Amino acid sequence: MKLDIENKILIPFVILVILPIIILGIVSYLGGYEILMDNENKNLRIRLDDSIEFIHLHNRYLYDRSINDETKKNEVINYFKEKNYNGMFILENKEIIFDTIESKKDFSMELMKKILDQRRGLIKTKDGFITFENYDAWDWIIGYKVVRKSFTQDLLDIQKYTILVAIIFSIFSVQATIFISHNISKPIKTLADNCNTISIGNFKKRIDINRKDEIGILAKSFNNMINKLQNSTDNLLEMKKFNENILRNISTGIITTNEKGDIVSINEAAIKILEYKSVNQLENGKLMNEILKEQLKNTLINEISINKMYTFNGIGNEKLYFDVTTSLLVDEDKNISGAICSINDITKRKKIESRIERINRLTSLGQLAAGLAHEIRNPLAGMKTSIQVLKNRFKETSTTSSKQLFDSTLYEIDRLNSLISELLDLAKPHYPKYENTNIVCILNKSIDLVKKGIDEKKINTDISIEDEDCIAFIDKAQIEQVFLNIITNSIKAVGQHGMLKIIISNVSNEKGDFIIIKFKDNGCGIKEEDVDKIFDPFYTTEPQGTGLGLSVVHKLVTENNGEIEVESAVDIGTEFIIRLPMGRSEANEEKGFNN
Amino acid sequence: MNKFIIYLIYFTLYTFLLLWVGKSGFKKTNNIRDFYVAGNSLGLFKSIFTFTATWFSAASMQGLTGTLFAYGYSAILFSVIGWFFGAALLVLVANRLKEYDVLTVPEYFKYRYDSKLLQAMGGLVITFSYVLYIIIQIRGFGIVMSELLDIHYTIAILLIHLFVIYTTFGGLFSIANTDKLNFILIFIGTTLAMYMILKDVNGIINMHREASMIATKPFESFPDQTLKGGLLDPFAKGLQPPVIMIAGFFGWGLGLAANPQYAIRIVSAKNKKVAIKMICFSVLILSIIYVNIMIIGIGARVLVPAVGIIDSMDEIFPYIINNVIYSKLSGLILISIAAAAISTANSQLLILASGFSYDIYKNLINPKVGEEKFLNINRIIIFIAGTVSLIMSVKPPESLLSFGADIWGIFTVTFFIPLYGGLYWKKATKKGAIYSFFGGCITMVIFHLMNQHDVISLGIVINKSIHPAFYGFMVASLLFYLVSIVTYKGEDVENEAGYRK
Amino acid sequence: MENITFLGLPLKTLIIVGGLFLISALSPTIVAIILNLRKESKNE
Repeated sequence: MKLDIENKILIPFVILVILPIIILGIVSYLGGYEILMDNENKNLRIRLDDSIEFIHLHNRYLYDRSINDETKKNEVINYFKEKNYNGMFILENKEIIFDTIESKKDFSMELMKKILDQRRGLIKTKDGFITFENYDAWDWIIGYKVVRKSFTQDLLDIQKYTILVAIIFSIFSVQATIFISHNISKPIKTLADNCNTISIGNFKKRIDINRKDEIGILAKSFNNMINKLQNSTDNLLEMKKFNENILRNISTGIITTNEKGDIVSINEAAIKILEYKSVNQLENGKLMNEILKEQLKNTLINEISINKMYTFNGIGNEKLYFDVTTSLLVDEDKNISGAICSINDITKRKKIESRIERINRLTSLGQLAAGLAHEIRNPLAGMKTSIQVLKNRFKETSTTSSKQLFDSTLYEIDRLNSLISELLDLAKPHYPKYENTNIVCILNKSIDLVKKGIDEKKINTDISIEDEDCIAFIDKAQIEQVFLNIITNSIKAVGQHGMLKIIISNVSNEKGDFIIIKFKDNGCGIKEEDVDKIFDPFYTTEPQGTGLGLSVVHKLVTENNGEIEVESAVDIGTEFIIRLPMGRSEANEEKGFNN
Repeated sequence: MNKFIIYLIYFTLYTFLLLWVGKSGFKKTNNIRDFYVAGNSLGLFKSIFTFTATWFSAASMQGLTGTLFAYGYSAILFSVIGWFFGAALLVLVANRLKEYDVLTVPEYFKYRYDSKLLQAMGGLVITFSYVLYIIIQIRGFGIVMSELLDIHYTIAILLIHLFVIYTTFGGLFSIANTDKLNFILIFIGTTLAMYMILKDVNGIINMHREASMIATKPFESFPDQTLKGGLLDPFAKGLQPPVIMIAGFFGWGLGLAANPQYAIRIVSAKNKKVAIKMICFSVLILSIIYVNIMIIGIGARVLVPAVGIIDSMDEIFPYIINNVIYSKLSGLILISIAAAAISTANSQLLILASGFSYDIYKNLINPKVGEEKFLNINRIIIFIAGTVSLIMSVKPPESLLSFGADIWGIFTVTFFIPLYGGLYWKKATKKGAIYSFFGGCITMVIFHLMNQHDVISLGIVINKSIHPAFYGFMVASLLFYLVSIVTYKGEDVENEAGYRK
Repeated sequence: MENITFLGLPLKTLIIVGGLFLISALSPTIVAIILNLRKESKNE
């Protein structure tokens, strides 16, 4: 058991207080005992002398009469018997001839021998003492035995109030000591308890000791200290919270590790990325976290910053791009305490970049083509006129084969011409005329235009309108062209009894409200590596195609503030997704114009 | 061994045991709630111990034994039975009082009736009456101590400071701890005494047979001579008419039911369930001890039909133990008699301190007193009040003893109606409570002055007429009802704010 | 009736003193039980 401060004060003081009282009590008791014993001894001595005197007188007085000794002795003994002095005995020739001793147990031979040897004096025994004297005339030894018990009773009666007072005062002193030690230790204990509470983390607690002594000063300064501590802790906590908030809300995933590479902290964005991506693998089958670990390890081993971009396969054909930077965590003293890893999801950026790239490509290609077309067109016109003149000139003379040759040349020139027109069309700046247009009407019109192709291949066309509102804010003619091109493409792609599904729906996102038109066929599809190129001019897989149809589609959709995406799989089919801005209400329309 | 030495050993052992047991209370006490009501933390066992030990006072131990000795079984009718019925009413208090977070009973008045005056008045009544109650305990203690240590009564009563002040300084934690020791002693002491007396009178049947033959004065200065068969008669053959039952009930039963020293044990109990169980079990345990006391009282009379050398009934129990049936265990029994007085006195002293310091000083004079300072003020009050009682018990005048006995009823006429009415009657108002309090008090004082007492023992008075508390109670009830009805302003107004169900 | 005794105690005393003593000793328990029953019936 550990002693607390109260007991550390209490126990020594209780001992200090009680001990003197007890010692005093014992000393006083023993002193009283000694005095009593001394008195008793003196009294006995006197009685013994008297007894001897009596025997002697008796002997002398009866000397003249011729009475024999035996009779004299008997008379003396009878006298003592009558007197019945407590503890008296008479020895004659080693034999007890008279005694009034109650307990003879300890009246041993040894004791007898001692008495006989000494003949007079005082012997102390276990339970008292014996005082004796010899009377040589008769060869007697007369003695008294005193038992201590016989006068302890008296002693107690004399001393009882002393004992009582000693006990009462020791009780009182102990009580006072308990109370004083409690009063001294209490504030210290309160202080300790409070400090303990505070050290556990309850900074709200203050020590409530209102004293002017040292403990009061201690409590006061402790409270001040806690106040200061709390202020700085509050500041620190605020800073910490602020940093945590940054880490939590930032879209960049941040992971820190110790120097061994074990993760120390990871923010929410990083968790999200890891959770979401861990199912999706890199092309070589590695998981995101494995890659991160590897990169972090590299950073730690080589003590360099590493920046890498990883591409993951997302859901469907989607690709996800991550920019991962790992660098060392170095503190102010240039000690390496670990590594930090930041993960950026750059998929969106990548998409935008590729779109811009495509547009640039298209633009430059278009310009090139337009310039080229323009340069070709004039000579071609000359060539056509010349051929026609030549054809007329050799009308009569020429053979059927020559005529055919002229015709085919003209046909090819016309074809070239129309190709050039188309090219110019692509490059020429258009000024679309936007208006609220019902998409379904345009779609039906477009389908009507290619009805022949559909019927020939017995294609099953299915238009499903998922949302009622099908009004888009677009250039009617241009979008009709878009639909026409896409449907034509699909007709080409599907086989006999193919299927073309058109779904019209609405969507709202941060960019605004859109109508989505999906064209889904089950045609031959596009190879994965070609998907990116289909909107490029002159890119075609058909020998007869110009490769401009989808370029035009892309251009027109973009000009109408729309977006186009394509998803395709070989032998399964292709899906074009077109998003067009939704029709505006009149108020919006005005506003739009004003803008 | 010497009788004195044996007694001294018992005395010393008991004191040091009490010191040790009471010490822990100091450590636990951190604030005034700990000091007054042990932080409302007492479990069932501790609650039962402290309740029974506080209940079983010198009045029960010496007063009742003496009354049984003088009058026989009729003494039970006007004492214990009234007390027990009062305890049954306490169950009703326990049922509701725990809804209030109070440290004293007068504080309840403040909350219930929104009246600081009523709290202060309650504190005043407590301070005044408990000084008188404590005298009864000190006298009982003095009688037994002078037998035990063979010292004069005046010196003997001085020793009470050694026991009572110390335990009360430690607050209710100390008192509850020492109560455990004291109650065990009381139980063992009375059982031993009962057993020893029963052995000496050759069994209970023989005791009754012999008791029925007694027709003497119990002791020289006693006014009434016991009639033959009176000891076994429920009304002492006319010495105690049935009307004393009313005295028993109004003077003590209702007084006990409203007495703060019991009500506060409800507050200090851990919860309502513990409080109710505490009362029920305590009364059952007490009933066993009272059976012991009955046998001791009647048996003592059979052993000594007429005692020569005593002056009052209070001295009979210690006298018999010390002189008639002396054995080596007599010291233990005498100590247990002292324990009954001590365990009651310290509780009463604490209540007194709370009545003065909390209900008067803190309530009216200095509400913002600091915790530590306030604790020390309480301790000072404990010391002063203890000393005042001590001085007054050196030679208590006869009139004081008679008043001390009647004053049991003061809680019947002042506390009872506002307490029970406030707990169970929604329409009770502040004015109703104040009028009832004063009205009851004044009525009782008037009837007390007119009243005649016959025999006064330690807190037990034998009235030949109706107890003054009866009239006070009637007046208090009437005033409470009428004034409340007149001043009640309907539901949802201020006066009802303190009512909690 | 005067002469009938139990443990040497007259029957009248036994009934009046003993009976009341027993009832009063049990009275707190009885009150507690009644309170409990009333509370239960209210809860139902």
